[in-house]
Amino acid sequence: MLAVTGEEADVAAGLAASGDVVVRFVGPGEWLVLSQSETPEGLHRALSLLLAETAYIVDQSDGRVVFRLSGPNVRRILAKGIATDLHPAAFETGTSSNVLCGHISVNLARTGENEFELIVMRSFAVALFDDLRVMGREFDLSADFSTQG
Amino acid sequence: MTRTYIPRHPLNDLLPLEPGIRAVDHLEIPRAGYRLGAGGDR
Repeated sequence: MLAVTGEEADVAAGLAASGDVVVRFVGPGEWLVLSQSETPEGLHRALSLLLAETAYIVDQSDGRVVFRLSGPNVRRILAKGIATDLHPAAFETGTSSNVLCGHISVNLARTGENEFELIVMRSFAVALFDDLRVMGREFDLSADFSTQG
Repeated sequence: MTRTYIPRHPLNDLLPLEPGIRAVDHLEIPRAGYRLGAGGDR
């Protein structure tokens, strides 16, 4: 979602009030909007009704892949590829930012004290998956599809 | 808005469809956006 120039504050306020969605900061006036319960079509429709006059809304569902990394060693794993201070005092829960993981651009979000989500463009998903497996090998990182869909 | 084609999840061939043994440090990949059994997904 990209706010029309000059409408950034209104769009941010509208997103904050839009209920069952998670909003990830991408850049000034730009966000990724995620939903665990809504279909891509339903989410697009709901956001269009709310913000069509103030923002450009594009469905990215099939163009991005989400990775959810959790565990007591998660910061040590991510530190092998991400040169951002991920201490909770510097990158608190709810924070998100576009960062490089190795050579791959990802949107990184802290979703819990020991839980992060990485959103990557679809074509880089396999490379990022391989990198994360290597980064987590020291800690016997396991991996599978989510059982929640 | 209608989506006529839903692509395969890019990790379909790398991960088992059933959950495996979960270590304390775990990487979980949601399928949201890539619905099982729909379109080109398996």
